[in-house]
Amino acid sequence: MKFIKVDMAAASVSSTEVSSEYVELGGRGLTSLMINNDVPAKCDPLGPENKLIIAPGYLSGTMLVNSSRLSIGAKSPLTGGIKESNVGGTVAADLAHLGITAIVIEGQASAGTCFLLKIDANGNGELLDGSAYTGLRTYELVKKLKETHGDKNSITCIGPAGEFLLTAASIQTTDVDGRPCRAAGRGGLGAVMGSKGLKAVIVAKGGKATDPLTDPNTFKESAKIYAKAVKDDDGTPELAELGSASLVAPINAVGAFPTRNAREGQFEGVEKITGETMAEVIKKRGGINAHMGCAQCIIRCSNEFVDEDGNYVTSSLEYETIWSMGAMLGNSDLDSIAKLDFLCDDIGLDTISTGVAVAVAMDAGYKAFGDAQAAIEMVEEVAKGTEFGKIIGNGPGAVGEHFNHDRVPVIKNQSMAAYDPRAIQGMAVTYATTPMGGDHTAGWVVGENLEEFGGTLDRFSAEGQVEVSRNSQIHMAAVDTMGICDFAQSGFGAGLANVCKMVAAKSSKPFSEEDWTELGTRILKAEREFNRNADFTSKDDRLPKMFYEEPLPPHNKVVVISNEEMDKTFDF
Amino acid sequence: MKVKVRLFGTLRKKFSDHDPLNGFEVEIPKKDASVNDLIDQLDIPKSKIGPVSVQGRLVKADKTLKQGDYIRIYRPIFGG
Repeated sequence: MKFIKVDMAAASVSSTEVSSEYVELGGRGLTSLMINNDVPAKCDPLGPENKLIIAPGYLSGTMLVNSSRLSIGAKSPLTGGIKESNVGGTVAADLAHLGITAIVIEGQASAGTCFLLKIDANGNGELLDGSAYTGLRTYELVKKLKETHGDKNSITCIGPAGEFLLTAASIQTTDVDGRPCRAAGRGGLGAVMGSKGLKAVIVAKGGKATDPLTDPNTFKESAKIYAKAVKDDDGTPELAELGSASLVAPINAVGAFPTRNAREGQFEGVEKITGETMAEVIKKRGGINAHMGCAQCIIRCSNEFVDEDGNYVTSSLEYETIWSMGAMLGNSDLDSIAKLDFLCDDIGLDTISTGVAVAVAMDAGYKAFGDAQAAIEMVEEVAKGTEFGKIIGNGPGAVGEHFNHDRVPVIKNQSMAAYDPRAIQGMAVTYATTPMGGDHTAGWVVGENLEEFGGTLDRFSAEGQVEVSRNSQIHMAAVDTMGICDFAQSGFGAGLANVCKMVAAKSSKPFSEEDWTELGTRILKAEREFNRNADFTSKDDRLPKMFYEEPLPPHNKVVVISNEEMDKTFDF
Repeated sequence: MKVKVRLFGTLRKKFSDHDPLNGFEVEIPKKDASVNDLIDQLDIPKSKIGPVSVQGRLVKADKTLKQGDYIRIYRPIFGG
């Protein structure tokens, strides 16, 4: 259990003890509390006072399935508030196996310098000159780093977008096959990493210093029960067969699939981009469905999309990207969507923010909806560093400003995701109030909103939405602290108490279901406190006016959650 | 009556004649059959069924079907 502290200004790395307040934390809980404690809320997010904190979940590195989730935290240059962006792959498990609780990157390298952080098999960190890698896209970067440092490393890195300090820049990390195709996409954290002068973090695999469990037998028993619940869940074979893209057809069917910059809730070209179509195309061409993307995954929601000749295009093609590069652009060409997904990974861009940035440009009349080639060219411009490329790379808010166009579906300047809040009112509450800005994972209340899916709320009514979003946001803050994959939450089917047992079996302290809620609440309070100190007010917990004023076909509804109700979300 | 049925996600697995992209044709012997009757006839547990649409419009399970209807049956959803 240790922190790796990296002082970029001094180009030095040290190991420090984990102070007592952080000992029983990991993931989002750790990054958010530490940022709230140590980062001045009003600082320049791309300046030396910001910190970039990379933390595996509290349960990462244990035998628990689907627990290799990494949290990356900082003050966001996109939202101006606190940010935790979460990613899979292998690095969370690898860091935890080295006994590393978090990497804390501070200060700023002098202008024009570029570093790599290498963490060896003993868990010792060292900064290396990275100038030879400046400007590289992520796939080429990873290939070269593997040639020099070997295959047995996970690599977490930025592409040109991060180096250009663009606020839609992602941090990419390698999957089980060693490809940099997993993204901590949201919040522009790639720009924070770029501002530090850090191009990549190389972490040795196979560490033998995992934090010991205080009660390994209880842990093992609960982890087995958890894994069985994941295996037995109905959604697991669904995710293996179609991945998260299984959501395309049903969300479109219920009219909540934002189309052509959220002018409509159903896409007439949807049949060509459903999960079912994607899986058939992949199968026919000899790609891979039910691909394993992350360490210790038993769900296999990933895929490898290939072209007509069977050549690799991208991994993994997901629901959100099929939306942002598909329906949102009026584009039903799956091959171009896959290409755009690859480009974003390679350039180091969030696929959601980038797709929506292109959608806003099309909505403003810059290019026609449905012009996939124009979308590809716009994304390529980001890598070239042209003036317009910088606008796209700064996300939909920047594009709206450039064109003086106000149909921009962002909250706290971050794009919403693939659920239109007018057709699922609960998502309006989550988008508006989460400290993260427009974000679906912070409180996914889609199931609760759809009667057809067993939900109990009227999705067009405000009734009960605040409460369900609040509870979901508290729960997710705790889930993101543990490092549990969102899709493996089916393991909670065996009971929250079973998960709490694992926490207690690691920490040696009792951990009840009340403690779970207290943990999630504590994290949200810290995040809200940071944002308030950064001058956010209740006015920032609102949606753009298009959602209140423009009825969304086919149901022709608008958001009906009042400001007063929104403000009750965090009245704890 | 004959209707066209498309099953989404894993629902289609047990029907070998179901084309993943075009579904299949189903003959419903019962007169004035509803969506519920169709689901019973296909022997799919209700717990595995999410939304159902007829001609692209979401319908309730008691909706009466007619000759030539195109019924899409989706799985419940999960995740984020």
